This record gives sequence, C-alpha cells and structure tokens, in this order.
Amino acid sequence: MSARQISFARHIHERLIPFRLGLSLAISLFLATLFAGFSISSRATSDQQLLEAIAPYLSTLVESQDRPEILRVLQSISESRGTQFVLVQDKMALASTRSVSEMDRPFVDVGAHILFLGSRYTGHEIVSFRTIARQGGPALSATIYGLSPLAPVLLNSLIISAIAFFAALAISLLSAVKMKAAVNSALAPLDQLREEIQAIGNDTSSLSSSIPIRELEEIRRTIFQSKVDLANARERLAEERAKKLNAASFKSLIHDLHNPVAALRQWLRLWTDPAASPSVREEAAGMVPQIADEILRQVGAAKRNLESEPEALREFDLRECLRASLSRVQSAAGLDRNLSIEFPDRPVVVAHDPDLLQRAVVNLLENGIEASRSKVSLSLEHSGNTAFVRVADDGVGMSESDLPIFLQGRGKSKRADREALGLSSANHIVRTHGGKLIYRKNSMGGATFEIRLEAR
Amino acid sequence: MRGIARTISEKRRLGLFALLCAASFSQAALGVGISYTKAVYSLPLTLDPIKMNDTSSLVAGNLIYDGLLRFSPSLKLESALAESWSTSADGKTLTFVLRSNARFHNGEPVTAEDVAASLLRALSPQSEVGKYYDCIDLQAENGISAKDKRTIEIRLKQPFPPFLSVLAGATAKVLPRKLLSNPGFFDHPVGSGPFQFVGRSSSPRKEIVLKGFKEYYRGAPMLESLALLELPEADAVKAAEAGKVHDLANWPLTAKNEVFQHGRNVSSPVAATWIIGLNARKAPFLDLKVRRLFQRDLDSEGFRKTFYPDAAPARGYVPPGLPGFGVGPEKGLKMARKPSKEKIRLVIPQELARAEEMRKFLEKNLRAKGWNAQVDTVAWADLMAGYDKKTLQAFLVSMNMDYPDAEFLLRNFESSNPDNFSGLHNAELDRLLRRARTTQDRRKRETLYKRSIGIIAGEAVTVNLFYPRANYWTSNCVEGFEPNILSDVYIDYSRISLKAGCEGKVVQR
Repeated sequence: MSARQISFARHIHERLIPFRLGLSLAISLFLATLFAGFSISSRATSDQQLLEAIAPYLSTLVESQDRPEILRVLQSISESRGTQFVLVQDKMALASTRSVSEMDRPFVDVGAHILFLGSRYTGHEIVSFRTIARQGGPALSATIYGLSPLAPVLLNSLIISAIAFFAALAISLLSAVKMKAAVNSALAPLDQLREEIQAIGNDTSSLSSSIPIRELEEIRRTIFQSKVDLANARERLAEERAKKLNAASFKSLIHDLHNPVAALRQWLRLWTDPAASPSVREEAAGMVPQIADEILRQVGAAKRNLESEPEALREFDLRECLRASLSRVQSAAGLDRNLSIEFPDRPVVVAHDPDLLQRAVVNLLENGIEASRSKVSLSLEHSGNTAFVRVADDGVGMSESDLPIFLQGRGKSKRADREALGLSSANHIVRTHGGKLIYRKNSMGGATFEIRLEAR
Repeated sequence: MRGIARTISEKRRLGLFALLCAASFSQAALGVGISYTKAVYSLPLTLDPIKMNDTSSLVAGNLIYDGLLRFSPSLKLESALAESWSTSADGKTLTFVLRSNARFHNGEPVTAEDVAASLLRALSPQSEVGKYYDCIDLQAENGISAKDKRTIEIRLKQPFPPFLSVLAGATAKVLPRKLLSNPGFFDHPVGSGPFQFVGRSSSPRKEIVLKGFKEYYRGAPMLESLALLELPEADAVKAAEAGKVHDLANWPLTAKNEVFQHGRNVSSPVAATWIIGLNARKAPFLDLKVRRLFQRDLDSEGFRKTFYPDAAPARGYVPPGLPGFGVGPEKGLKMARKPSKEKIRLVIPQELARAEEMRKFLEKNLRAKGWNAQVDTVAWADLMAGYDKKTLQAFLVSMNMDYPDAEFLLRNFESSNPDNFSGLHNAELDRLLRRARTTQDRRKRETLYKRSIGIIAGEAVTVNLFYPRANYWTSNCVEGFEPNILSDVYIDYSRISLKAGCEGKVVQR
C-alpha cells in the first residue's frame, strides 16, 4: 500500500498542527494562571485593605453592640463586592452576611487552608481577617472575616483561558493561511523546475527564463546540462556503434569473398592441371569465367554497399521507419497487391539509421511485391530485447541454396539484377545495424524475410 | 407596647384532628383552596395597624398591608411602597416618592394622600402606637403633606434617626383613605401587601384565609393562598408532625423538639428578651427593694435551662446585637432582706406547650425562696387585656421589637408612655430618653441609651429570663423561607414557594 501523498503546503500544515494546538494551550494556560494569580492576589489584597479600612468603624459598632448597623454596613459591602463577612466576638458570630442562622452561634473557623500573604485560601474561598480594634479603644476580642468566593475568579480565569486559547488558535490559523499562501508562492519556482524537468523528460524543453531561487536555478541548469551531455553521449555512442558495426560488416563483406575466390582458385587449378581429365578441364574452363563474373558482381555490390553505411545509430521508434518505408512503397505506381500491416501499439525503440534501414525494408517489400501473387505483409514484433521485422509474400519463394549468393550480391536477378542487389543491400544494411536477415519459406509458400535487431 | 409578642398555650381539649378534618369545609366556605397553612398561636386580636400590640396581629398585618419601607432579613432598610426617599440637611424633613405600580387590593393606586391619611391616623387619639410617631411635627404647617399624587413629605419635630426604622415597622402601614370611613373596613380589610384578605372563620376552626395579590408591585406571591390557622403550641406541633401545616414560625421551639424530625429547622437569633414584667404600681412591687430581691430570687437560669436550653442567658434587658446589651444595674444596690408576705400573682400564657410545667416550676421556685407566690396560666387575650389595663402584678412575656433600635424597648419605661407596663416614673430616665431622641450623633445616643438601661436595671422592673433563639420549623415542601432577626413578623412570605410536586399536599415526608 502506498503512503498517502499530500501537497507540500498540506504537509507543513499537518506538521504544525500539534505545535499550533500546543502553543495555543500553553498561551491560554499561561494567561489563565497569570490572570488567576493576579485576580486572587488583587482580591486578597483588596479584601485586606477593605477590612483594614472598616475595622475602626466596626470597632465602634461592636463596642456599642449595634448589630443592625453592623449588618447594614456589611450587607451593603457584601452586595457590592460579592464578599461575605462574619464578625466574630468572643468566638461567637455577632454578625454574618452569609446566614442569619449563623449568628449568636460559635464561629466555625475555616478548615484546611493555605496561609499566604496574610490571607487564607481554602478550596473555595479567600479568607481575609483582621482583628477589630480602635486606637485607644477597649479590647474587643473581635475579628472580622471577609470570605470571597474563588469560583468567580476561577470562572473568569477559565473564560480568559478559553478566549486566549481560541484567540491563539485563530491567530495560528490565520498565520497558517498566510503561511500556506507563502508556501504556495515559494513553490512556484519549484513548479517551474518540475515543469522543466518534465519537459526534459518529454524532450521538449528549452532553457526558459531563470528561476528566481538560486539553488533551484543551479539544479535546473545542472539538469539541462546533463540532458545536453546525455544527448552528446548518445550521439557519440551512436556514431561509435555505427563505426563498430561498419567495420564488422566490412569484414563480413571480405569474408563473403573468401568462398568464391577459393572456388575460383580451385577451378583454375583444375583448369591448368595437366593431370586433370579433359572433361574436368573443360568444366573448369566454363566455371572460371562464371565464378569470376560472380566475384565481380559481389565486389561491385560490396562496393555499392560500402557507400551506404550509417554514420550513427540513434534510438528511434522503429514503427516510424517502417511506416515511412511503407509510404514509399505505397506511393509507387501500380501497386495492386494486398498489403497487410501489423505493428505493436507501443514504440519499439531501436538504434538505427532511419534512411538506411528504410532502404533495406523498401528493398524487401519491393522484392516481396514483385514475387507475390496477391499478398504481401509487413509486421513488427517486439520480444525481449529483439525486434522482429517480417516481410512475407505469397509468391513461390526462393531456393535456400541460392540464398547466400543473393545475400552476398553474387546472384543475378531475373529482373535486371534487382533482386540480387536488393537482398545484398538489405543484408548489408541489416549487418551495419548489428542485426541479421533471415529467410524462410512461409505457410503461404512464399518467402519471409525477417530482420532481427537489438531493441531496448 | 408592641414588644409583648408571642405567647403561648391554651389547653384545648378539642381534638386537633377534628379541627383539621373540618378544614376543607371551612376553606370551601371561604371560597378558596389553601396552598399554604401557617399555624399561629392566636388569630389577630385586631387587623387595624394602629391597634396592633401583639405578634399575632402584626403577622397578619404584615401580610395584608405594606408600608413605605421594609426590613431586609438582616435589617437593612429597603424601599417598599416608596420608590425612593431622601432626608433634608437638617434631618427634619423626610420626602418619599411612591412607586407608580403600587396598588391596593381593590385595584386603586396607592397615593400620597393615602400615606398622609394613614400616618395621621397613627397619631390619632384612638391609636395605640402613636408614641412611635409622636416625633412628627403636626404643629407645623406641613407636618404631613402630599406634594403630589406620588410624593409625600413628613416634617419631624427634631431629627430622629430611628424614624425610618419606625416607617419600616409593622404598624406603619398604608391604608386606602377612601375606604377608611367604612365602619366595617377592618372586618374585611383592603391593603397593598402581598396577600389580600379573603375571610375569617371561627368555627369549626379558627383561621384567616388570604390569597396572593397578583398585582403586588414586587411581583405576584408564589403562593396562591395562605391560611393563618390558630392552634395551641402542642396541637400545632402535632399538626406539623401529621403534615397538616407548613410552618411553625410563630413558636420559639427548641432545636431538640421532635417535630424537627419531620421537617427543617431554620435557626436564627431574634431581637427579643423574655421577661417577667413587674408592675411597680402594684404592691408589693411598689417597693424597689422588694423588686430587686424578687429579681434575684427568681431562678431565671434554671427556667431557661429547663424550658429553652437553646436560648442565651439573659445579661440585661436589651438583647444581644443592640446598643445597651450587657448593661446591668450598679453593684451593691440595696434590696429587701426577706421576701414580702404579700401575695404575688404571676401569670403566664396558657398557649405555651409547657405552660403547666412552667407554672409549677416558677411557683415552686418562688415559694421555696419564701415568696407568697401564685402562678396562673391565662389565655393570651386575657393576659393582653390585663397588660393593657395595668392590672397584672407580674406576667411572662417576650419583649419583641418593631424596629431595631434600643429606643423601641426603652420608651416602654418612659413616664408619659401610656404603654408603660411597669408604672415606672423616673425623671432622669425620661430626660435621658428625650435627649437620646434628639441626638443625631450615634455614639452619644448610645451613651444615653446605656445610661438609661442602667437606670432601668437598677429599678428592677423586669426579671430578664433569656434571649430566645428561634428554631423555625418548616415543612420540607417549603422553599424561600428566610428568617428575619427582628422577628418572625417580618418573614417575607411573598418569596416563599412550595417545591414542585408539593402542591396539593402539605408536607413532604
């Protein structure tokens, strides 16, 4: 299963999500903690200051036991501040804004708490307290407790936290949108590079305007230069291959002369041998000029063949070459044969000289047409590393013993040497492409010539 | 003296449940179903605010009528019919602006003329509460004047800071001027309070039925209707246990009362002192030394521990939380060497659940100390009648307060006060009280109060028993019941409601 592919911008976006959430959370927690700490501290300080401020007045009221007035004062403050007050004297609640029932009862002090900066912090409230005394007044054994609920402070902190979280998240998302746009903008040169690389792959590229990012431009130039170098290397390779095959075909031509020359020598020896019978000598006298003529034809053919050797073998789709060959044959006047074609759908890449190979195929097709009764076929097959070009006809075929004579250019065609020259030329051209020209009788009784070439 | 408040039992042999079973008949007769039943030790002796001198009447008055101001549960002064008020720089002129949406139960708007008529009525000769309003300067050209339909101005003889508290009290109620001339008005009164009068029945059970006033300016009460059902304390407790009433706020129960197993205990201090009042007009209490010895011999702490252990021991006439609390007589005062041989009759309200036990306790206590004492239980109405006529030698009452100022309690002992139950005549005390009323400086006024209380303590006209702590029993169905430290009179029933599912049944068990 292949991994999910996403765009670069998406990739960055997804990679940043944990950081974005984490950062938002951290900011909100930080702000909430800061706000809660500040609020609680402010509230505690404010409560302390308030108790400090009202203590002298309360002392007067406690001295006079004026509970109604104490309650009015504390209730008013309580309603405006949301702080509850309990005034304790002699361990009894003299006044309470929390509950009427609490009054004239022993005051139950706060339970578990943390004492910090003069205030007590329980699980749900801030408890500030101050002993009530008036300068110069009597000892009253009275304490005023201010009890501010923590819940509103914590709720506010929670709200601040939530607001901060969503604000940070929104800012982060906004920055993500902006970043995505920036990334997309930044990716434009990469897209240009990609398009140019694709164009190089399609062999349609040319060096366009430069990419504004230096590194990418260098990559582009390197790739383009590599392409040029590769083309040059291929060209050199095609030329080298052609030279190598030309040399090999030249050797073959020389080698082809070995047998007729050897035969000529033998017939000459018989012709000049006094010990030979007259009939042998007479036969030899007839064979020597005949073989000499064949050699002359072979040398002439070789001479012509050597004039048409490829300079370079470049890789092209062989189908194009065959189509061009067919086109040339079809344009010939008087073609009344049934010519069938069978090519593969995909390109068959073969290193070849299109003009020369075209000439060879045309020769084979023309021979086939001439020899055929009604049908000629041209087919191309790609199997493994070999391309097979077959030209078949429904003629009478040819003797396999005569085949080397015609292939080597010694044969004499019934039709103005055409066949002989055509086969020899085609054979030579196929050789110069590193291939083989094979003949066999086909099921129609005619000839099938098969060109075998190395394909990619 | 409006201080005489809650009282106590009556031995009614009439079966409680027979009474309660007859309830539906009674309510049907009054044409209204009852959603809330409040037990009271007595039905109101009067529904005329200027004649109210007992808690039972004040409770009903506070439900039916409303005043310019009101007390919050913690005694803060809040606006009632008055939307706003102001005091002139010299402290003598008070100006009130009425709410535009204040209506009487008959739909008529409450006007400044209604306020003026009601205040003038409080100062009329038939008023029994005139002493609280005598600071109003009726001699002035505009002693009480309606400036327009919603503005009323009151001119005082001298600055009297507690007067605002007087106006928040249970007697300062505003009545519809146009209807006051109706001779039967108080048989079917019309007020502007949260509940409107429906009817009163005396048989088969004694009750007053009220219904919520939907146009009440603070919003319609959450209770559709409310009945004040008269029951002796013992029967009321049984009714509570049986789930037949919603609250027993009219009684100072102890926290250990078994009735609390069947409902909630809303505990609160109350500004009250239970006393045995001594009538200095009657022998042998004409003699100060006898009064002092009687005061010493009566086992007030034993009485408290036996009958009201929740209450705080008395340390003087003024309850805790008020200026003058804890002030006692000078030390070394001379007293009689031995108890008087003269017969002393001490009466206690028979409506108290343990009235008979109290009677025995006090009689035994006094006789053991050599006093020729007879303790009787009497009906509350009879006790009040004797109190008003000053015929009683000694009586057990709770001194409650109408407004949270020691002045309320102290003026009971002023020579000129017709409500002076003690018969005390002390020129120095009268002078101090007069000075206190005209003293705006709080501290100076408190000093005067303390000196006054010292004199009263020295005169030994009260045996201070204890400071009660209210343990209000309410049904578990009741919500919004908030005690008032002044008195149960001021409990705000307009904010009380019944829990969902409790409608139609009395108590959630």
